[in-house]
Amino acid sequence: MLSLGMSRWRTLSVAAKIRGMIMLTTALALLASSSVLVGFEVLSSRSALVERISVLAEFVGTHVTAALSFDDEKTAQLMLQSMKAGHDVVMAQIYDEQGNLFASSNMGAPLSVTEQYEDGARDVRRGVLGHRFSLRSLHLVTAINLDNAQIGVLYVQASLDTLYRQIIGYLASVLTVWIAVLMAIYGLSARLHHRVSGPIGTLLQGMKAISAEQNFSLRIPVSDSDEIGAIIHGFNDMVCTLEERNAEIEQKSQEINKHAFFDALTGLPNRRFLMEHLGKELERTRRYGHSGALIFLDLDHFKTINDSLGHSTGDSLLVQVSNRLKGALRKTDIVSRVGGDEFIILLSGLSLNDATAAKNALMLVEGLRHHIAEPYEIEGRMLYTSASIGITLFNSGNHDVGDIIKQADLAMYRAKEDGRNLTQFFSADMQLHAEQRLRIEADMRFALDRDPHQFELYYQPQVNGAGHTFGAEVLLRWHHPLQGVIGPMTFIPIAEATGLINRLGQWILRQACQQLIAWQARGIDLQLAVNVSPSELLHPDFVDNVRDIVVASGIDPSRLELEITEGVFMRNIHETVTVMKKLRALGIQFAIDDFGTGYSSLQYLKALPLEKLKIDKSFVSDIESDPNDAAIVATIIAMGKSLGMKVIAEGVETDSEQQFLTRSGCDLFQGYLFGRPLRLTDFDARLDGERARCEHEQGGSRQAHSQRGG
Amino acid sequence: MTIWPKGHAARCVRGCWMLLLMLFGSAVSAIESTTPEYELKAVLLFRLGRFATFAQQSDDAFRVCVYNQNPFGGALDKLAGQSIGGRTISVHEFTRLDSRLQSCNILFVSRSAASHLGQILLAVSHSVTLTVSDIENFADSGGMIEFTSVGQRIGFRINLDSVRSADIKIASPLLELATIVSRRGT
Repeated sequence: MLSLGMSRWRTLSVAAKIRGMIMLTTALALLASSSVLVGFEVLSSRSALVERISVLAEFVGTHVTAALSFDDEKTAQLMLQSMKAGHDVVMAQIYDEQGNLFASSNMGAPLSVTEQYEDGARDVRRGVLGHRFSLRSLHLVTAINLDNAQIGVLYVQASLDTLYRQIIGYLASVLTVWIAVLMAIYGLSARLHHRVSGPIGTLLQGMKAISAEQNFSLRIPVSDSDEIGAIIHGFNDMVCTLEERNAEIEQKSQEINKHAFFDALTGLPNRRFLMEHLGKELERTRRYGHSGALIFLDLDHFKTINDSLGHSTGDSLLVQVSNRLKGALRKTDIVSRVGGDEFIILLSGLSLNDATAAKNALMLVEGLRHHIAEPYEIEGRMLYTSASIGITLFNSGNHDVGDIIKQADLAMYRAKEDGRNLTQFFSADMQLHAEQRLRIEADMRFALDRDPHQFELYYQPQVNGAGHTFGAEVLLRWHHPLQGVIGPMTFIPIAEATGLINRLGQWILRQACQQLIAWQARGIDLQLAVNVSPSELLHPDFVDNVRDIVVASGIDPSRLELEITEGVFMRNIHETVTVMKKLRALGIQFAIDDFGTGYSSLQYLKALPLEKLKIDKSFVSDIESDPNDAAIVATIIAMGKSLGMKVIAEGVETDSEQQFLTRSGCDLFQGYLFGRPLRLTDFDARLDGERARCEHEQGGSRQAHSQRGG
Repeated sequence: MTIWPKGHAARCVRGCWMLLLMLFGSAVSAIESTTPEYELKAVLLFRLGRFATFAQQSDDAFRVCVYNQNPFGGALDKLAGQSIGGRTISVHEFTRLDSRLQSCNILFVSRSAASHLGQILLAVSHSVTLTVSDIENFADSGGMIEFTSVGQRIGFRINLDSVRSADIKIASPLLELATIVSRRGT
């Protein structure tokens, strides 16, 4: 019960608790005070009654002395009767000295005669003067004195009914006051607790409102400066702090947003910004039925500028390019920088007609491309650059953001492949091509990691003027487990683009060195030519890797020839020269492959540590039909000779070609006329056959051997 | 078997007895033997003293005097030695008019002196003496308290003027029992 009451008490509101306590305290105080008052009233009215009856009895007692003395019972009775009027006396009796009843008068409630008598007689017999109270009566016995002697007693019985009525009346009035006071206190406590709990309620409501709306700009009004006021002040301060914090966080997050959505260098939006806008734009094209274009723009050879002229120049160029792009575009278009030298432009609101949209986009983009190709003045010097651009159109079709960017990227990539400074539209076969490239890359990676035997080296013989094989060009074949043989023209560019070329190159080099050692052990002295791509050569670890492999294999470094293309000079001439010189110092030899197709500076040719020029097969195959090519070939040979280099012609397929080349002074050949690329076993067989023939013709292998070495 | 309560019968018997006493009272008193009537009157006489206050109180004795023939016999002597208001009661009998009568506190005049009542009253007219008698019209004749017989009861007639002129105060309870008589009324 108690715990139930307590738990109910706990769930009450503060107001109800305060009111309850006030009411309880008041009730207790009233109870205590009214108990004292009523008790006092009972006592005082009892003593007043006793007093009154005593005085009356005294009076009657005095007056009845003569009647008692002279035995006048009638007079005595009359006198007793006189006590009746308004004095609550219900019975009065006079007893003489001997205790005999002398006179009796019964005025009140009809008590039985014996009871009256017994009551009075008992008190008289007790012989005690004074009074006592029974439940309903006051019994008073007084002496009747005459001349200092007691001549009898007077017994008076008074009813307490009047007393009780008085007390009940008094109680009723006290109760009335009680109720009135309680009601007044209740009313007052309502006002009081409103003063106290009103602010608490306000606080509670305010707190609920603030937490519900998460609106920290709200404040709770303070009415008093008491503890509750202090709590509200404290709460308001706390909310104020929260509001400031929120504002700070808001500001910070805006800054972060700015960093997150804008490129610090150019101030252009970044990839994330673009992605979001592209998403929204896609939504809009779906809703309003127009189309848009996404343009992927990449500066050509920006890395070269960055590497050769420094990053600050590169950055300045990027800023200027950005400004030109911004200036050339409509306000509704978005241009963003998504990578080092990569920009993506979003054109919106194009016609729904694909042809019209394509035409408009192309016009705009070509304008951009020409604009970018104009010279830049940076730090007092004029710079030129160009851009390769891919375009993809999108409309209400089911594109997603990632796909669209990938398409534009692919188109741009194709533009690069097609010779740079070009604009390409995305087409479906690009997608196919790209997927194929991805697959090839994954398979190539797998082969290098797990199954290098998918790769095989082929050897294409290189012969001297006498027709003897002095060496071979190492060519890579990939036996794909599902697609069969994949040609190097397919997978080498992918390897170059993905960086796998470095691992592939190392594998080839390691195989070639092992083969050289194997031949050396058999007494065969051949030279192997290994192709090195520009990106491979310029890799920072290239020199160390080659040195490690050559030293580890223990070959004669001069037996290894690295074939490089003219393209590498375009990339970074200084670095190329450094690398070549380091490797040349080891004894490794260099040949320029496909000579005549690139832009070689004669200045460099002179400075480079080159042993050999390799005339491109395109010239050789046209020697007989095109006099210009014949002239070029003759010039190259003459130039090489005069620079002290050997010259080898590749792609020689006919005797007449060989005769022309021989006449022009070329003494080394490679081509189908002398042998296709062969597997190792076939190549070894050829070597064996050649050796046997030689022994037969000249009768001495040593001589043939030394000739081959020359 | 009777329809009367016991108390009523007792009272009736007692009343008859009293009647007999009154009829033969004088004859009995003549032979100096005390009748029940005078035994009662003796007691009443003493009690009267308790309801009277006397202006002058010469000494410690409370003198109760009987003039002429004493009708009480030895009844008064039995009561002598008691005290009233702290004074010891002494009983004196007078057969002649005497100046000592003036020192009496209560003077009972017996019926035998009815013929010269005026002289007696004159003799104590200047003293503080309460005169009491059972002579008929005693109070009307200038006496102070007259015993009367009302039925079987003994009553009082009091001449307040006489009482006042003697500088005596009668307590009011006694007055309430008595019949008040005026001297002028006679």
